[in-house]
Amino acid sequence: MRMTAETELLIKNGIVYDPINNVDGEVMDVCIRGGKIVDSVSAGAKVIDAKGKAVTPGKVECHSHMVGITPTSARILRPEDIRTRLNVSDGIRRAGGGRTVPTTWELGYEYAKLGFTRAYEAAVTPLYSREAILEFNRYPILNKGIFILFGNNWFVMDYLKSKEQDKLTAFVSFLLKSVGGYAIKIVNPGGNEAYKWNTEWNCHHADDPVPYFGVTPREIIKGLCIANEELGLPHSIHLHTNALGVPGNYEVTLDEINTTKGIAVGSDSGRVQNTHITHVQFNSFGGDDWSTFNSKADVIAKYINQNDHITADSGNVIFGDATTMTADSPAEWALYKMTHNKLISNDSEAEDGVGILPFLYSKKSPVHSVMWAIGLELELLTDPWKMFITTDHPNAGVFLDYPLIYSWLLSEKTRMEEAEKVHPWALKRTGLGGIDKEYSFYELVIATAAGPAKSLGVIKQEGHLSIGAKANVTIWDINPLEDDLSRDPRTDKFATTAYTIKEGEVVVKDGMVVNVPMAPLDVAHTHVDYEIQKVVEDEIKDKFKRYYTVQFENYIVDPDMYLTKADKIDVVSGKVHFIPCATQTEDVIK
Amino acid sequence: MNEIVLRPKDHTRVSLEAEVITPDNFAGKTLEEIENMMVYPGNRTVQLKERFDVSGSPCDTADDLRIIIDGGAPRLKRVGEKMSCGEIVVRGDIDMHIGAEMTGGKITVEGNADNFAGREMHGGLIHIKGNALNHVGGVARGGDKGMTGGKIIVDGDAGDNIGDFMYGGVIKIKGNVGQAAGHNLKGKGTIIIGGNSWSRVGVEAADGTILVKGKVHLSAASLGYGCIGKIVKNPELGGEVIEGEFYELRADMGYKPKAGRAKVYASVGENEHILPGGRTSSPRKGDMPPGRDMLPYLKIYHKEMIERK
Repeated sequence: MRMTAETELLIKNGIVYDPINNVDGEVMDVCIRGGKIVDSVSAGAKVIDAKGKAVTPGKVECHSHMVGITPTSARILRPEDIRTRLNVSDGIRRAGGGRTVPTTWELGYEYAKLGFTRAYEAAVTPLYSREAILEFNRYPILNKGIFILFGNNWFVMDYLKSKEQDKLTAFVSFLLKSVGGYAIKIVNPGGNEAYKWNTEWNCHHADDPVPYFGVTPREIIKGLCIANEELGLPHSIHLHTNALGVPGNYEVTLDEINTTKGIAVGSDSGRVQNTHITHVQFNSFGGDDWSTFNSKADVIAKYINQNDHITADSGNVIFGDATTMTADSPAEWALYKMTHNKLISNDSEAEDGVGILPFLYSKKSPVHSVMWAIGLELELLTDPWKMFITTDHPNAGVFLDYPLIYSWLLSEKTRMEEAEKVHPWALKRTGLGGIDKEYSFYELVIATAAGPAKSLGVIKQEGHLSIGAKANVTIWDINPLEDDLSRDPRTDKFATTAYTIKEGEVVVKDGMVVNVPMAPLDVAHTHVDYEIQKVVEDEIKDKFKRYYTVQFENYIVDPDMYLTKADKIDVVSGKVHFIPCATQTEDVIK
Repeated sequence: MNEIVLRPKDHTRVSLEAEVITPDNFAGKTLEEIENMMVYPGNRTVQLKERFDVSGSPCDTADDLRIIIDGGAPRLKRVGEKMSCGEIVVRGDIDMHIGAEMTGGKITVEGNADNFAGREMHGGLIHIKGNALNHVGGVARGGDKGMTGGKIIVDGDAGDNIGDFMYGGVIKIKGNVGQAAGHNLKGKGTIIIGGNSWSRVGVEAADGTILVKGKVHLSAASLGYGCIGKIVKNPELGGEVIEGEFYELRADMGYKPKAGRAKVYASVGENEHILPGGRTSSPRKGDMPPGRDMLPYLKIYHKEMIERK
């Protein structure tokens, strides 16, 4: 059940940072009633004294692998992971542990401790979305949503092959609704399908055709982007480009993001981009092979700065243990041939693939050091409204280490100290040494809260502290007006909030989880013309018998069984309507 | 040497995790303090005195302390975990993880030990007078670094996967062992097996030595046996000279880059079945399974074999 009590909170004298409203470090009060920000509260309100503390909107995680079939397989693959971090139950928190692939409850608690109030699972195949939904229904504190993989779907490629854009749009609408998704994720478009034909095949660039279907990655990206804008989904397409992790792939990246230039945004959710390119660090490699490997972050950053149709997240490398998991199976296969670590390479029928492999980022490795530098370069050279901080958890690093990235961005001194500890290539093969920019606290709030909220299309509800917004507020034991963050980036203070407030409830206090509410899952409901919907559904039913091992009726996620705790984002002709679960499912709750 | 005696009170089927039972933890504490230490039966927490009668003479230095578990404790886990000095004697059986991650000192088990005895140990000595189960000196699930030092002696038999992912130290089993002994052996580890060894000895082993005084079972998986094929006499292993003649073999099944560099010594007298055309002399019930005909590409030096006959 959601909180309905008219509890009142007054956050007094905090130093407020609210980039959406251009508030940069002003001392003011924030009033909360009934889970919303209001302009004033009564005298009986509970007071939190935030004098000398920063008050910011709750952070938004735009790309993370937390639940669903991939992390669950990784938990099975890596039983040793739970030995690195283990917490016993303390009456409020459940027992749990793990570092690169933590248990479900642990993820919610730890994200809330870092100040996050919303997180998105980045890759779920439609066939296995049930598991992700069930797991998300037991995922505490944070709001959440699921990105559904479309990039290698046979139906998508069939419709592109026959050039039926209207049917493709109807199919996207149908599938998102049927499996409880929030946005369109495209991973290595076409390449995973090629890999299924032969492990050494892939789509290496935007015009490399997919076997049998004959469509190219460029057509897939463009077709899905048009479908996305015709439907008016709150988030844009979420793109993981081809040739990930291959030296010289920056040209492919530029080529593919240029594909969607000029497609008009068809949603009023507040976003301005039509493509979000994800963990772009892995896609900004220069050179011809690993011996000439270098950074092309400056080229990518320049493109993103100059073009408004794109936002990105960084995918910073953090040295140490990681578990790479992605639907990009050919990339994982390449990693396996290099490391011979344990590998899961799986195929989800007519939809996509998956690869999982434990990986160690070493400071001694020249390539890993350059990758570390590329991530920071991208963030420092790009407008924070367009480049958000992620580690692509757990591919490039673990989300628990976000404070380390903040410290490298806030302080040139800390960054250069780290650069001296790693392989000299980190400075020789990149432009990191020549960048003296340091993030301000305000820019950090943009890159972690306001920017992602805007890009993900939730800006009407949250990501800021305007009157009427959801009261997702974090209070930090940091005084950016007085503390010199460039001298001491306060990594310990960024590791936990002083308070995390989720819709008016204090959930974290002084680094301890004190309250565990459950927040709903967001599901996008789109509408297309009834007749075309009917035609497409008939075609899907027909093909389903040939393509799938399951029956069509069992494929569709039953909303009454699985989505009773889901908020509906209803999109009618580009207008986003937010329908909270309490109003849709009153009978179920009774 | 001062002794502290723990006498188990009752035997339940629920396991009791007691990683506090080490000389390092008991040193400098009074009997009362020791009695109040926490142990974990199942998902609950109780004091040590609820499960054990504690007596003896405490002392301040762990080096001079001997802990005696007076009686079998077949469901008592993690005894001696991370101990660095002193001594533990178990007068009976013990459950899993005895002496896990220990760095020094001595543990004697007079009965049998369950799985993972001496898991990931770095130093010290574990002497098991009965049998031990699987993963002796091995690694916990999913890990890739097992025993790095110290010595484990098992007077009876041992189970499967002994010394997996071992980087150093010595494991000495006087009886038979199960399958995949020393798989993924990586460092300078040494495994000496007094009896027979089931299939797949030294799978994917990259370095180190495994010696089998009894039979080596040949299975389809152990393809590369004999790719060295010479005979060594009285090899010196783990600080002692082992009497007898041994084939020096390699067992290389695996896909890892360095797999197949470990040496496997197999006794000449017991292992005629691995020679070209060789068959097990007397397939008896309970003995090793019958050997197979030689694989075609096995390269034991025929000349040397013929001379011996």
